[in-house]
Amino acid sequence: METLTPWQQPELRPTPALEHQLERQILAPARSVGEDLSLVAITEPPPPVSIMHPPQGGTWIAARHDRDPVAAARGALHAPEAEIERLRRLHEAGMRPDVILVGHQLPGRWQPGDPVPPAYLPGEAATVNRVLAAQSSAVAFGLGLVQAAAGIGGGLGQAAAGGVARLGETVAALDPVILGGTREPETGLIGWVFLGGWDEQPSR
Amino acid sequence: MSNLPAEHDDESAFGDFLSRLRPYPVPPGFRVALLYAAGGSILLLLAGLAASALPTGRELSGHVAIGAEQVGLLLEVFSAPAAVFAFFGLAGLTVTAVIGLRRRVDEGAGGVLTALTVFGIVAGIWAALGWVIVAIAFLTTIVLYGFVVALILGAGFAAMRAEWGMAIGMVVVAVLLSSWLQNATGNDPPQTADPSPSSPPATEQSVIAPPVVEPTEQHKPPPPGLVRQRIALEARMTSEYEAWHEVPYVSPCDHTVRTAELASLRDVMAQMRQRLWEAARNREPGAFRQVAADLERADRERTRTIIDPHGAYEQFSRCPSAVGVMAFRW
Repeated sequence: METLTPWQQPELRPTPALEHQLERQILAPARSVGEDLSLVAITEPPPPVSIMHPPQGGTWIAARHDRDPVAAARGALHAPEAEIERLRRLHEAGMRPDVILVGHQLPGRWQPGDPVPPAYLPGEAATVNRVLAAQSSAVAFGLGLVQAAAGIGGGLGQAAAGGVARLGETVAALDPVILGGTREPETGLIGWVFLGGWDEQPSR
Repeated sequence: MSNLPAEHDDESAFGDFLSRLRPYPVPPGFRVALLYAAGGSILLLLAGLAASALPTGRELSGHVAIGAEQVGLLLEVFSAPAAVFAFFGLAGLTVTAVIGLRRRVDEGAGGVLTALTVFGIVAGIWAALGWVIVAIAFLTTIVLYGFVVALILGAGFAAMRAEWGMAIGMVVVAVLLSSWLQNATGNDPPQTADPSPSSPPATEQSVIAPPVVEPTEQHKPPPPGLVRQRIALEARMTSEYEAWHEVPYVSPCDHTVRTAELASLRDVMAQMRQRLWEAARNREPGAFRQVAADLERADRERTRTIIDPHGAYEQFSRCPSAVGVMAFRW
């Protein structure tokens, strides 16, 4: 996770009230389970769904967890199992943010109404691609032997190899992020804490 | 403020978020990888069955004209890993099912899926090669029989053109080839499959008797116990025959009598040997006891003669003779 979120601010000066709220609702429970979280941004309350197109390309979507268009399109908010367990531990430790903001990075210039590509864990996608490549090579070898022995079955091995070539194409990993926000009672500003993030591999 | 959920308490925001989290689905190629691995496991099972069904040299000897023994040895190599193939096939199906139910694939699981596919294909090739060898052996025999048919047809055509020499020659070759094929495929002696216990040592044949014609209609191998007895008795016959060369022949017995005695003993032992082979094949232990008793008598006669050469002649009025003390069955 090296990608900076577009709304990240380098210098933050929370008010004592916001600092107190953050400590009580997020930071202290996190420390109790060994997590040292920190404030990453103070913003006005964001709209339910924000779509940003950074100059380096791609699309960032920041949405409240219950209004997330990506999760709605995919049928669920996907996360690695280890990350789900970690977030549950934080919840059980007493973490109670006022709002959860989910950020998604999508390839290309995405607009509402466009299809959302499914995504997978990059490690699993790479492993499956490698496994399929090796399996297809073995099958192609076997079919080649059969073809050589019987003079039939031409093209089957080539078809398998073609499938492997397509599967072997790699796509850059993208970075979903989860922010937990605490509302400052007087000003209404929200202090954001980075709760988690990981790589995912969109399919083509 | 208006964009925030109005009445979200702490519990509902984070709890609701957690309730929406799901693990990532497996990549789309995962099912294909599972199918490949399952196919490899099934191929391992089938290869195990196919390898275990490969014929042995004994089974081939009745059907293959050339090299049944050598092909049988080769097929033993190909059928050796049959149980390993079957075991890994079953284990592979189980492991594939477990990985499929877990719906997660890491490097270890990926390696297992790859290995199952590769091993399945290798095992399939292995078993197929074994059966290709069997097919080649059978095809060779079929081609030879086809050659016999072609010779007979050719002889017929030659006869129709009144080329009698050619026709007779082709018929003769066909009959010889057919006879050889029948002997090779239908009447192989048991030593084709198990040569060590049933083939007598060449030295025994040359010393005791002229080479005995082997039984040619033997379908079942003799029991190992009778084979061992036969080999032991044949060795005893050899040593007894050799020992009779050392028996002293004193007057009126002479070298001529000794030569005649040894020739007679050689003939008798050849008959003994023939009888032992038949008895082993027909499972007649009584014949073995009979031969052993006669050899015992010959041994006693020889010992007595060596101790007292003159006394032996004076007592029985005949020259020392192993055949003379036997039970007149030979």
